[in-house]
Parts: sequence; C-alpha cells; structure tokens
Amino acid sequence: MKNAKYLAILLAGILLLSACGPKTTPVPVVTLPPATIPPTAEPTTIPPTAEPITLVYWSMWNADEPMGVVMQQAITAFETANPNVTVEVTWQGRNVRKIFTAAIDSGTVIDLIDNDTARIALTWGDKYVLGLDSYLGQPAIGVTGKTVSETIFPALINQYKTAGGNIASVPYNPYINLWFYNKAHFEAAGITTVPTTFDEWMTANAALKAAGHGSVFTYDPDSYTDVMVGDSVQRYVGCDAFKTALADKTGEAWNSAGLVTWAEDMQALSVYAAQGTSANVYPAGQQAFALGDVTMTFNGTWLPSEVAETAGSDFPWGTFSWPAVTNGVGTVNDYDMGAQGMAITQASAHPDVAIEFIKYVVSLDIQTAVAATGYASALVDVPWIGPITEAYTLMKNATSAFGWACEGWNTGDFFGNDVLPAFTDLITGKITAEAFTAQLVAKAKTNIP
Amino acid sequence: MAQKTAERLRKILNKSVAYIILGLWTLFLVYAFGWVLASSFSTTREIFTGKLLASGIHLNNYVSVLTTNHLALYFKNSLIYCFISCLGVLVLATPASYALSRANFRGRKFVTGIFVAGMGIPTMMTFIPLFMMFTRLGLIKSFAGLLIVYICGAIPFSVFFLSGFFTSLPTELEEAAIMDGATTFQAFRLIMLPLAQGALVTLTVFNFLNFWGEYFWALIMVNNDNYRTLQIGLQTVIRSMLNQGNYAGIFSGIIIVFIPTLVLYIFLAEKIVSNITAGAIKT
Amino acid sequence: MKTNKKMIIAFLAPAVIAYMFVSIYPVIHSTILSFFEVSAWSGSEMKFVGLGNFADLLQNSVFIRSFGKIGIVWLLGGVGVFGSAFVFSALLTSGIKGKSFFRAVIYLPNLIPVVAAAAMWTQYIFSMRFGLFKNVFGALGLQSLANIEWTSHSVIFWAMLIAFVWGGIGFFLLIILAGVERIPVELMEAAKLDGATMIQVFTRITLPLLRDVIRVAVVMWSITVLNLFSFPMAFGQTYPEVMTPAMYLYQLAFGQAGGGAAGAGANGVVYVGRAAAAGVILTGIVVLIYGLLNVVFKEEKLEY
Repeated sequence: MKNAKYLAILLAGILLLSACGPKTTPVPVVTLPPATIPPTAEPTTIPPTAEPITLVYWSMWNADEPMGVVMQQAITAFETANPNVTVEVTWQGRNVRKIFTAAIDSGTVIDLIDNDTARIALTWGDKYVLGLDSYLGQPAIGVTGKTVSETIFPALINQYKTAGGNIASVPYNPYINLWFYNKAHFEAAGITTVPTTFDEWMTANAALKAAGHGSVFTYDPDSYTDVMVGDSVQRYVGCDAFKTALADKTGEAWNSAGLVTWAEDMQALSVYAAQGTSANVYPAGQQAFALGDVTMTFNGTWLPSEVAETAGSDFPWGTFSWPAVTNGVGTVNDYDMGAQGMAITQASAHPDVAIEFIKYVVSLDIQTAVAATGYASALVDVPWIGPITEAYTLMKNATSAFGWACEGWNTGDFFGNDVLPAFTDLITGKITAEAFTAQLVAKAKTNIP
Repeated sequence: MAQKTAERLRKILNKSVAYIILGLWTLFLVYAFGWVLASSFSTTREIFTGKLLASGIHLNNYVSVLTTNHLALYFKNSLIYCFISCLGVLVLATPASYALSRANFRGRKFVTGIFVAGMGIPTMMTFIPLFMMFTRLGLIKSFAGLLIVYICGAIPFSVFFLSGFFTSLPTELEEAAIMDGATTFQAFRLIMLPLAQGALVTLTVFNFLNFWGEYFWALIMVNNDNYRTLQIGLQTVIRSMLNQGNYAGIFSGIIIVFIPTLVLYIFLAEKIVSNITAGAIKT
Repeated sequence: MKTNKKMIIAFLAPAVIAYMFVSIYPVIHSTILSFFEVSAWSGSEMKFVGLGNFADLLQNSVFIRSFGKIGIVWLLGGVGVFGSAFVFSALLTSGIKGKSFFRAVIYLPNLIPVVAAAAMWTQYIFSMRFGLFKNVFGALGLQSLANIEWTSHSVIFWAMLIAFVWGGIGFFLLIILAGVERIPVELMEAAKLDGATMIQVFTRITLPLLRDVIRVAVVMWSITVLNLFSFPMAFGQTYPEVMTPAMYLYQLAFGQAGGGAAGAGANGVVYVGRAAAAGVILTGIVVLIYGLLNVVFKEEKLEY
C-alpha cells in the first residue's frame, strides 16, 4: 500500500513535468560520417611465431567515441592480417594518465599506451617507455618512398624528447589550440578580417558588442584555463620567461613590465567575457559556443568533433591564432600545438610487434579514417576536413611550436593552485590587473612546492 | 477555554509548518529527479534551450548508453559483486557473531572490542598495503580483489549487528536442543539460523546497498574495464558523454544507475530505515 | 554456555582472519611504510627517512590547506546536517500524518550514488543556463541569488558542501530520530505542563537524553568527513578549492601530486610512503576525536 503511494507521487511529479514545455517541430539530429575506408595498404604481416602474441593496449579513448571507433578499426585490421597476434585493448578513457604509472610499477603487463606526447616524454619518460628513434626510419605504410618520420608533420616528431634525448612516442592525432569564432557573427558585425594584433582584436570585440553580441567569448575554466594562460603569456613574454617567473620565490617577476602589460590586457579583455563564464562546467562553455550564443572560444582542433551534435552541420566555423602584441616576444605564427601519441612500454616483451601496430595507426588508411571523423590526422599528406581545414594549413607551415600552457603544468603546485584561479578571476572581470599581480606576488612567497 | 483553543491553534500551526517544510523537501526531490528523468528522454539541444521533451520521447539515449557504453556490463558486474559479497559476509559473519554472543571464553570482550574498533578505521589508512599486495598477486585484474575487500570490510559491522541480535534471543531453545543430544553446530544451523532470518535479510539489504554505491575501493581495485562496477563505469560513461556533448546520455546514465536502488528502496524502505535505526539504538 | 573450544574457534576464526587481513595488517604495514620513502609500488625502492614524511606533509601548503577545508566541512557541514536532523526530528514527531513516508523521503538522497548526485548537481541544479536554482530564484525574484556562480572556482566548495549536506542529512536524521523516539512522551508532556518553552524542552531534556546518540553520531560524522574523497572528486577535481586530505593522499599515492588539484602535470613520481604517513595522520585525528568525545560526553547509563 505504502509502496503504491510512493510510486503514485513520483509518477505524478514526472507527468507534471512532461506536460511542461511547448511542442515544436523536431530538430534534426546530426550524425558523424562513418569512418570506414577501403584499405589501400595492409598492415605489416609479422612472421608467425611458435606461440600467439598478445599486445596489451591501454587506450586513452572510450570505445564509443569517434577516435575509439577508428582505433578499433585499426585493431581489427591488424589482427586480421596477423592471426597469431591479439591486441587486447582496455578503453580506459582520459583517466589512463592517472593510473598508468602505478599499474606499471605494480607489474601490470602493458605493451602499448597512448597519451599526450608531452606527458609521455616529460612526465613518464625513459623509465616507462622505450625510445623509438630507431623505428622511425622504417618505411611508412601506405605512402611509398617515405619513412615513418617523413610522413608525419616535422614540428611534431621532434617536439618532445625524454631526459635521455629519446623520442618517446609516435604522434598520431595532433591538435592546435586556436580561437574558434562564429563567422556569421563576424559578418553581422561587419568584421572582414581576423584580428592579428591585440588592438585589432579589441576593435573587433567592440564591434561585436555593438552589433548585439555582448557575450563575445567564453570558455570552460575547469578544463582550459591553463592554455588560456600559456597561450596569452607566450605572446607577451614568451614561455621561458613565464616558467622563470613561476619558479621565482620572491614573486617579483610578476611585477616586470611584460607580465604587468599581460595582466592589464587581460583585464581589458574581460569586459567581453560572457556572463557566467567562471561557472562553466565542462563542456558548458563550448556548448554555448556551438549553440551560437557566444562568438568565440579558445579550444583545440578536436572541438568541432566534440560539439558536432549541438553545432549542426552548417555551423559557420572560423579560426584565428592568439593575436600578438606590440613589443611582445611571441608572434601570431607561434602555435600551441601537440599531439596524442602512442608509445611502447619499457617492459614490453614484444616491442618489434608493437611498433608494427603503431606504424599501422599512422598509416595512410587509418589516418584518413581519423581525418574523416573530423579529428586531425598526423600525416602531412592527409588534409583535415571541415572546420579545421584552415588549421591544417597552419600546421603544414608551422615552424615554431610551443607546448600546452607553456608546460606550466609541469612546474609544480604554484601554477595549478594559485596562478590558474587568479587568472580565471582576472579574465572574467572579478579582479583587476593590480589585484591579480599583487595576489601572485603574495602567493609566490608563501607557496611551498 | 481560550487556552485550549490557543493550544489547538498552536498545534495546527506547528503541523502546518511541518507539512510545508517537509513538503518543500519532497518537492525539491521530485522536481530534480523528474527533470533528470525528462532530460534523459530529450535531446541535448532541448536540454540547453530549456524545452525538454519538445520533440517527444527519445529512447535511443538509453539504448546507446546500455549497449555502446557498456553500462549493461557494469550493471551486471555490480550485481555480481554485491550478491557474492553479501553471501560471503553472511557465511563468515553469522557463525562468528553467534559464537561471540553465546560463548563465554576469555578474551571475548577483547575480540568484540577489536571488531568494534574496525568500524572506525579509515579507508585511507588501509588501502596502500592492500593495493600493493593485490596488484602483486594479480588480484586487481579480475573480480577477486574487490570481492575480498568488500567481504572482509563488511565483517566488523555485520558481526556487531548480528551479535547484538543473537544476544537478544533466549538461550533456552538451544539448551533444550543440546540436552536432546544435538551438537552445537546443529543447534546453530537448525534453530538459530531460522530464527535469525529477519536480521540476516535486513543486514543483507544494508550491505547490498553499501556495496552498490561504494566508490573508492571500486576505483582502485579493478584495473580491467570488463570487471568495473557501475559507479566507476558511470564516471567513465559521463566523461565520454561530456567529450561528445551528449547531455541527454549523461542523464539517462544517471537514471539507469539509480533506478534499481530506487525500486529496492520503494519496496524495502521500511526495512532499510528500521535497520539503520536499530543500529543506532544499539550503539 | 558453550565451552567447546574447537567449536568456538571454527565459528570465529574465518571472520577474525578475514577482518585482520583488511584491517589490522594494513594498519600495521601502513604505519611502517610511513617511515620510508617509497617511490615505486613494487616496493623495490624504499629508503628509511624516519619522520621525514611527516615533516614534509606538515610543511606542505596544499596538505595544510586541505585540512582547513575539512575543518569547515566538519563544522559548518556538521551544523547543517545535525541542525537539519534535529529540526526534521521535531517536525516528524509533531504528530503529522505520513511520518514514515517523509522519513523515507528524507533518507532517499543518501542512497543516490555519488557520481550520479554530483552530475545532477553540477550539470543541472547549479547550471547558470538552465539550472534549477537559477530558475527558482529567478522566478521568486531573488536575482542576486539566481546569479551566484555556484560552479566557479571560488564558490564550488560551498556548492559541494550544500550537495554533501543534502545527501548526508537523511542518515543522521534516522539516528537522531531513533534516539528522540525513545524519550518517553510523558517527560515532554510533563515539561510542557510545567510551562517549559520548546527551546527549554530541547536544551534541558532532549539534548541531555540524547547524549550517547549524539556522541556516536559525531564520531560517525567525523570519520565520514575525514575520509571525504568521492564527493569532491566527482564535483570538481580540477579545482584546488575542493582538495581534501583524502584526495591529496590519493594523489600522493598514485603519482599525481604537485601540479594543481588535477595533478595534470604531476611529475608522476609516486609518494607511497608519504601517502601512508598522511593516512596515519588522518587516523590519528579520528582517534583523537573519539577520545575527546568520550571525555566530553561521558557515557552514562540512562534510566527513564
């Protein structure tokens, strides 16, 4: 009897809510194109061994997301070509970076691991992964006449080396961090060229505000504050000076001219932050952009794929690089880029077999499948499609790259605990530039690494 | 006369206030839960623009979450963990609590005391050596590791609870049986256990719910995705959904994870609540 | 009654062994580990450092700050949970109809899995776009409340506290209610006839008679708070503002310490020994609280 009462009340409440909301015509659901491409080149066939070989692969992807689907394709094709090899994959998701080293230390058998190339080389390093330099000179699969390293964007291959000077992973899914903007908003505001300097940017922002797009930019503070910091500060003082400032225990570095200008410019920019930006919980910020509520957001080239469903197939995508400043160290052609790469663990019993799988992942077929999902491919010859086409040209022509958030994340507690929260307040207009600088100076003195 | 009316008015006022406050709490729950339920049937765009269910009910969220996101697998795993652990706890704790409540031996108080103390040991203190040992023994690649932790970890409270129960039963029944020639074990099995059914069921429900919602051990003791529990699996599913901007999927995941608990609760609310209450009185 | 030793051992042994395995042995091993610097889970790299781990921890601003957070959760959260529990007890015992229904409804949030609850709160209730709080406060005209950015880094601690308290009230309500219901109604009636106000009844009769119950409840609350891990993790693990000692311990143990709350750039070095030391500190505090409460609330056999 009582149970019926509970059920009744719950049902009543639910029915009540379902009755709310106006009825409109259904919105068409956008689906991604399937990533099946007829193969042009098979993976290397490994000579059959006496015993079947198992490669244990801990993937940073989830099985159901586009990159996961592509990896599964690669696995299936590889296993078909090599019947005595099994690739045992665990779809760990992004969490893998947290559990990898502990697992290796406890003796877990893992052969293949993928993650950000910076993390693999700098955080994990020679203790956990093999140096792959010797393998990169082997012929590439699907592209005749070139070695593996020759088919991949040069800026990526040599971007990170371990402490021992080794290349720790093969990049297979690059990204560039850029300002994504809504071309329709720009047109409506009469902006015809993308801003390349801070002053041009502020003019454009003012025009957008005047045209009624008051919420000019937004982002997700819990995920991307660090790149906002790194990319902006690189234009003003460069990454090295920034890292020096982070390590300065007196805090006086924050009072230097370049960093003070940086803070002041960010305060000027904060006028255009959308209301509620600091409260965004990922992916609320990028969703707001995809819904057309906000004109710009700073993100990586994976963004169009992540918000494909909300944005729809006819979203007016545009990108531009973080604008430069007069007397600044960085230029508009310095790109914050990186890649997800695949590595072989130090303890792997089958490195020669594992590298064949990696070579297949960066083969023409698989990389074409990657590009077809809307993500960025690692091969120079495979263009990026859709919204990130412009970024592909940037990547091809890139000569100078710097790392995620100037590798601030690799410098200790101060960056994450003090700089990032203060910057969020600054860029969302909660504190002034003076307060920001003063805060950092004070916290630098009290912070214990 | 006036005093009586005043008193009656006061009582009515008190009750009205009570109804209002309790009603608000209930309303909040129903509304929040109802919204999550409605969103789980909507599309992401509708959620963001606040027009839930504008295009009718979409069941595909549930289908995809259960199949492609392996939530059904995690569900099954959690069921396995919970059932086997509950069983294991009963097998280990029931005889022990019987012995503690009936037997008079030296050190009985000490043994009881250490069981009680065990309830207060923080997880943070015990996980390091256990994780070390289990990974070296390879127990975190299968069901074994988490099962062991769950069963052994629930023993202190279960022993405490059951021994209190057994103590409240009169001893004449077993004594009569033993005088008739039964062994202690037979007396335990044939007389005490049937009598203890109610308490065993209540305890099992309590343990089941605890295991179902447990987070920390499930997080560290299971390395392989195939053996993950629902709670941790949900975390993975949500992360995956966020990466694809599929809010409706997130909310369907939440509903799926919560529905069994809710159903169990609706039918067993009295038992669950009374179990905790009884535990409170005993302490 | 039974003096058959073999029987006793057979009945007790499995449970005692199992319990020793997951409680006593780890505590001992953990304590030993806390005096070493252990930088690999395989235990292959162990260096004796005496009290070094403890010294490092007590000088680490992240660790210390996390205790401040826990302190606030314990105090303010405790007031919220216990205060609400007492209020609800009073409401439930004021003779209303549907008492068991409301009691079940109040306890229900305690059963919602942490991950699900956190997602519900952060993605829906606190949302600045379509959230429940924003809509309700807006509809009531309380615009300043509607504009609170709950999930921003400066407020997220309080947001988490609210959600945590909401989920915890039910459990403690049941405990307090059980105690309150054991107080004979005649006592309350007699006091009211003597002219006592509700507050006087509460402070002079209810509270003292609930002494034991409160003591146990406070110990349970303390243990819960000190172990607080899953709620902050699910709520906002990238924000240092929700870092609790248990979270920091976890980061130390799994190589994510030193890179902000997300441990995004942690150097990957594992500090197992230091994590064990943190565990010892946490357990020590639990013992301390237990001892203090035993002194403050001396156990008395209460006769009605």
